[in-house]
Amino acid sequence: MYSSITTGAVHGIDSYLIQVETDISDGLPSFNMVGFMSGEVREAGERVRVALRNLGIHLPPRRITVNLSPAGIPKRGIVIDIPVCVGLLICLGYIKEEAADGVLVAGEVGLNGEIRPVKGILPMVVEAKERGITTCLVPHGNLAEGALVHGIRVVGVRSLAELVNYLRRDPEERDLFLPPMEVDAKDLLTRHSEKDHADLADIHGQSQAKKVLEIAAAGFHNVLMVGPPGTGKSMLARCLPGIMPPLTPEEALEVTRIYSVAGRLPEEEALITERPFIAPHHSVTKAALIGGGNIPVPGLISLAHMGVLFLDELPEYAAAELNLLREPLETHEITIRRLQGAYRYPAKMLLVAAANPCPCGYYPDMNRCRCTPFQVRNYQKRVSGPFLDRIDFRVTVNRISADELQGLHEEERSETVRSRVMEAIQRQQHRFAGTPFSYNADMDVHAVEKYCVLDTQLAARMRMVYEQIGMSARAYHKTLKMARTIADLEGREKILERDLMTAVGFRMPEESTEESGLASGEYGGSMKIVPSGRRGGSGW
Amino acid sequence: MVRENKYNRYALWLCSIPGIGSTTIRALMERASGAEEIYYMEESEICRLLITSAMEKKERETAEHKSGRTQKKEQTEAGIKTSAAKRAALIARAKGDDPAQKEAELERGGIGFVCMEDAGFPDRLREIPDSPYGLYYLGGLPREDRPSVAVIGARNCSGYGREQARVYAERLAMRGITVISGMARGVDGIAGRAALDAGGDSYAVLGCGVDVVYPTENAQLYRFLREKGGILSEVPPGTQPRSTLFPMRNRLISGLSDAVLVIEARRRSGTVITVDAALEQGRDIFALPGRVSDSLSDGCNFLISQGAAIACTPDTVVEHFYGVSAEGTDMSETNRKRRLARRSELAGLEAVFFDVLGLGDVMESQFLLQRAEFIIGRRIGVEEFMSCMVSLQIRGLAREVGMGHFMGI
Repeated sequence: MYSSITTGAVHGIDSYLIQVETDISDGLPSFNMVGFMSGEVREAGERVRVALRNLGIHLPPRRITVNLSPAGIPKRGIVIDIPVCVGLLICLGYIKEEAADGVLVAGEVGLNGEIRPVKGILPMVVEAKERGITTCLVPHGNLAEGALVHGIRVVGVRSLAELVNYLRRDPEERDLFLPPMEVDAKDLLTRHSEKDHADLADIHGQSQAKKVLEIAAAGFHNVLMVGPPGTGKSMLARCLPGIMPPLTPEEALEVTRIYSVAGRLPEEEALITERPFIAPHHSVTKAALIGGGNIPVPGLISLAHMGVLFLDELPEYAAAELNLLREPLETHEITIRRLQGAYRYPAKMLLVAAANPCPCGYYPDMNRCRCTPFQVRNYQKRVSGPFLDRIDFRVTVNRISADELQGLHEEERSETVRSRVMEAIQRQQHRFAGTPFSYNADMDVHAVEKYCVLDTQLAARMRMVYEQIGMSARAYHKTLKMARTIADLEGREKILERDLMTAVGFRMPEESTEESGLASGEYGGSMKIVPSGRRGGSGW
Repeated sequence: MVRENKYNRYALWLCSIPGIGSTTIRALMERASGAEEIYYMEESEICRLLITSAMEKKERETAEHKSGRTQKKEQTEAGIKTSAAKRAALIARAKGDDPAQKEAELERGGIGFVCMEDAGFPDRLREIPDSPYGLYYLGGLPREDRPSVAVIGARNCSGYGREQARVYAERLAMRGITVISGMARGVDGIAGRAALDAGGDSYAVLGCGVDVVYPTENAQLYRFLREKGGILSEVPPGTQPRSTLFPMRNRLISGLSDAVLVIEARRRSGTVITVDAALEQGRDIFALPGRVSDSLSDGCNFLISQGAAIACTPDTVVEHFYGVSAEGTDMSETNRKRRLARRSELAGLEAVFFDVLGLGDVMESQFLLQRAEFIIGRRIGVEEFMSCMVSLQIRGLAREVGMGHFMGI
């Protein structure tokens, strides 16, 4: 007796279908599994044997062969318990052969016959739909995510008994027994109640930092916050998802896909409805950060896709780990190459970093800071220059005044800020229609010249800034992009002097000069000195 | 700038013997006519010289001790003898070295060498109590006919110290006064650099060999000094910086100068030690006053309370050498005029921030903003604030000293 069951496996964030072929024939009793699979996949056989016995079905003492096709792709880290079960049940005649036609089954089985959730159901269902499958039988715990895909029957099953019961029924009766589920992403997004985000209004003062976060959210600019400990850098960062526009259904699906593949989707939750906020500790490993492992899984930067990656205490991160982020920050995705193939994970995240200005945290308040200039310089140089190049803004977060602390001023709510941000993003969408860019921060030099037009007076002003303050060409373009976003936030197409000067004020400081002090090109713009052969980070 | 055609090879030989420092050489020179004589002296004779010198020194110290002036631990007679024998042996062994080889090494590195017996040796150093016997240099030596001032201060200086080090050194240099410094981080380096930028003379004394760049971040300044001024050191080329060498370096900084100007220093700091050395050498001390609440100005204020001259303007120092100048510039007066002139260019908020910022104060942006808001009676947007500050910076009226702290200039 022979049977063939369809199931799915994940590669990157995409899925491909696998045929699980089962055959029971005469010969010495054995249970063989073949098809380029690794040890942990093979364990399915043992689970299935016990689970079936506990259901009252004994495997006959015959030669059982299970094959996974295509045999050319290595199968690692996938769970094929349920397809093997169904295949065996068909071979043993418990289920009719045609019952599993056009059906995709997936899931892990417990020894008691319970069906447990697996990773990557969402991409599997998407792939199944494309390949003309009509029904997907998924673990009940994965039903919600699977149901996001429309135009295909997605059914959740809780136990092996339920599964057998379902497949033994006539196709017409099945929907009455276990009705398929369908979930509308748009609906979920509009209905979901905003979780308790940190609200900007809860933070007193820090108007500069708030402004910078607003600009960052609107133009997808990466930000560095520098300031002494206890001034609210982390709290500010946590507000960021709340001022970014809500996820669109397409974005939400893409994020959910990543979470599904990573097995990080909260149970019973169909969709990631909020922008992720990922704050890895600085002890994070390379694989955890960008993804990888023996069986590649998405890393934290992919889990932060469409959301915020917050690196607190930036200088504490190992340089090698930070440098890994350089490429994804430019290309918005990460490709992990293994001998067997390349795995691509999207990683468009908004990077927010926070740092103290020096080891003790109080520089440049010389009455409190006891660090030597050497210590300060070294601390700031721990972060490599090319990494800091990917950051557009720097804002200092300093102590607030007593007035502000006691909340004498009215603070703006995140909601108000978000509505401005959304308008700015709409302007950008309109502007960048038909171009590869979606946000101001994505613009290349040509686009900057095209979209960030300065009138003659402003151009002259910017010349002065360029010469007086001494910035690099890269910084010049970054500044223009920021000015563009600031103007967008105010609903203007024309960049005004105010926008430009604000952008200049928040620019990343450049290469510190040997006598110029650590923080900004302080010793006059005329000096641009790089100690020979010892170029490190640029400091902030 | 006197450059010997030929090195004094015996002096060079004597100075580059490892383990023989300036104290030993000074002891020998008390009795010998020159390095050449030492070279041809027997080991026992050298040993005898050293012992006599040490015994005399001990007697002097005992006398001082009796009068209660020193509490130094006394060296035993046996100790003196062993130490003298050891050093004599070192010198005797070094006779095997070819003096010409040292010369060639210096020649290759373009390094100059003068010893006390040479005419080119700085006169100012001849006067000081423990003057060095030999001096290595790159570039040139300070001109004897020009007054020189050591501009020294904290390595970890504030924005105020930074700015004033620059202003004072620049002004001194413009009036033809040589600026001597230690090429250290902070005040020293800034002063040296500013003097050179103003077209003046600047020399640095290092606590390591003249061919060793320390600290490395002053590499550029090192190159400039070598080309336009000079780099001096008492220790042989190749010597790495050691903490014990710095006090010796400091006494040369003050020794090479007619006066010492302290820009910023903590109460207990290397700078105050340099000032002690300068007083011993009979140099004049100038100190830049600071706020009593600034720990970085504690040292300066202390010096003033001890009788140092108050350097309210660079001209105070200049006048010390050239007499009262006709234009009699008062720093705050000129600045007030300059600022008044510039104030008229400003309008609206910029003027408010300009006033709030004042001169030379470092202010945190939050604080600055709060004061300005109080004055105009409304809240000021972030964009307004930023564009005003950038504009003031472009006009050269303010400077960001880092991390959201601004300073009026």
